[in-house]
This record gives sequence, C-alpha cells and structure tokens, in this order.
Amino acid sequence: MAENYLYFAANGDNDANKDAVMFPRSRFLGATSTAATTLEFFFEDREGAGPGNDDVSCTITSGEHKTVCDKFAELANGNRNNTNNFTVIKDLNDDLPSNEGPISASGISEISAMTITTG
Amino acid sequence: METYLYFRKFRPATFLSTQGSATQALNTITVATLCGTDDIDSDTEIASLVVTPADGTNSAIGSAYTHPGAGNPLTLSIANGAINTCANSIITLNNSTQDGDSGYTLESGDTVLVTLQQGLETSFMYPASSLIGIEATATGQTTLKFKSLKNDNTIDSVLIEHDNTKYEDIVNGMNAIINGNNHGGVITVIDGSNGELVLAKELNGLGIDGLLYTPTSGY
Repeated sequence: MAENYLYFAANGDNDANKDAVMFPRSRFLGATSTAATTLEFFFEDREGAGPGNDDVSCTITSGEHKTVCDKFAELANGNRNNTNNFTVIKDLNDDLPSNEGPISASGISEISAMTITTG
Repeated sequence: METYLYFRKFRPATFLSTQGSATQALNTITVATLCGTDDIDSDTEIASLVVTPADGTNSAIGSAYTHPGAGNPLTLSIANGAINTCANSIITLNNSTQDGDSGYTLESGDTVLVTLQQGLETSFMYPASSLIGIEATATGQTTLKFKSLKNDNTIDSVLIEHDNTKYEDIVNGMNAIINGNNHGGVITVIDGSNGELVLAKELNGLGIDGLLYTPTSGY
C-alpha cells in the first residue's frame, strides 16, 4: 500500500522555518492532550540520526480531543493510491496569493492553530 | 490500514477535601469509583475549586474575593493564581500572602470541592503497532507498554485497573481489539468522558474502573 503523507501548515506564508511540515503516516508515534484545548501529535524525528521526536501541538475546540483523533485516523488511513495528492491534516495558511488557496482541503475543522516543533 | 488505540480518563470527576487543619495542601485526590490510582499532576486538569468556609471570620483571603459567609461557596480563580502546586494528586493553594488577589488561606474545617476536567495527558492515542507488551503488574492491575511518544527508546505505560484474576481476559480482549475485523481507524479502548465509562466491547465485564497514564517524560 502506498505511503500516506500527512501535511500540517501553520498560519503563515509557508516561507519560514516551521511554517509547514509533512510526515509519512508510518512515522506517527501517537497523540496526547496537553490541556482542555490542546492536542499534540508526535512523529519520529525526521533527521533519523537517533532517538527523538518532532511534534505538532494543535489548539482545538475545547474537549474535542476524541473528535480530532477520529478525524486524524480517518485521514491517515485514507486510501490515496489513485490520487496525486497528500493528506491535509490541517492547513491554516491564509496568506497565499489570491489565486491560490489552502492546499486542496483545509483539514480538521476543530483545529484552529498549531505550533510545529522539529528536531 | 493502521489501527489506533484511544484512551480517555474519567472526566469530569469531583473530589471534596475537608481540611482537618489549617494547611494549604488539600487531601490527596482519590475518586475510587472513577479515577482509581489516577495521578493528577497539572492544573490544566482542574476545572474549578470551590471553597466553603467553616466560619465567617476568615479575613486572610485574596482581595479579589468577598467572604461568602460560613457554609456558603466561593469559587477560587485558578486563572489568576489560586493554585500554588499540583503534583502527585495533591493540590496546594496559595495563601493570601503568596497571592494577594487570588490566594486563600484555608482554615480547619473548610471544605474545597475540586472538579477535574480533561487536561494534560488525560486523553491519548497510539498506533496499535506501538504496543510492545502487556504486563500483569499487580493484583487487579494490567499495564500496557507502548513505544514512547518521545521516541527515546523507552516506554509509555497505560495502567488499567480491573477485577482480580482478569489479566488474561484483558490480554485476550486487547488481542481481539487489534487483530479482529470489527474495527477500523480509531478504537476507543477505555473512555471515561462525561463521567461515564465506555469500553471496547471486548473488555466488557472485567470490572475496569481505573486508568493511569505515564508517558516517558514531560514536554
């Protein structure tokens, strides 16, 4: 089965460090709540040089951790074999040129902000 | 297709601390029928703190408060600094000197009603492929071991409390959850949301009444 790539973009121009990131689904480690309105996704460190993780901390609608996890799993397990696209978990980039929009889909509606941390 | 295992602690839950003496540390939070050995370590898990004073004479309260009178409730401001520390299921409040507007100096006989909410590490999900073992850790306790979220070659553990002699049933149930054909995507293994216990059907009847989550490290 083809690998599914998971895309996250923070509110920005996709032109600065940690504005956006994409992970293979197979490198997903898990997720945990960090407050009533935050949920953090963990991935194996992209550098792969040793132990470590990258993560995306998302601000979500209060108490909707399970809804977000459900939607994440549905997207992560989606069959992308017949598309040329990757999977948008959340695209918050709202500052693209007027003839462009977010990449194909805006993703999980309960996510309103995110911080990307990479090793 | 990957299977994801989802867990959520028992929330909301309430705990009433009756102060036996004039100390700022509340009694250790234990809600046997809901939380079991749950470990409360973050004030993000505290939805509200309501003090009911034993008498009406305490003047050592923050300037943001008006004394409600003996036997009447007063909601403390967590956002403005009512809590000093929260660790190992013990909440210690700031007194009125430590936090001039939102502190509250407790007296013997005061009660504090603690309401718990979803917060730090109360809700979590792992790929089933990260499950690396299931261990009988004590009478009536089974621990699931997962590859760490931190990817640091250690483990995260999820302790499940259940009726005695049910370890094999827990293991069989987890095997059926992961390898059965009844689920796709996220499987809710244990969900204590809204104060009600919802289990994957493979774990019904085992007396599950507690969930303790211990990830490798903070972040």
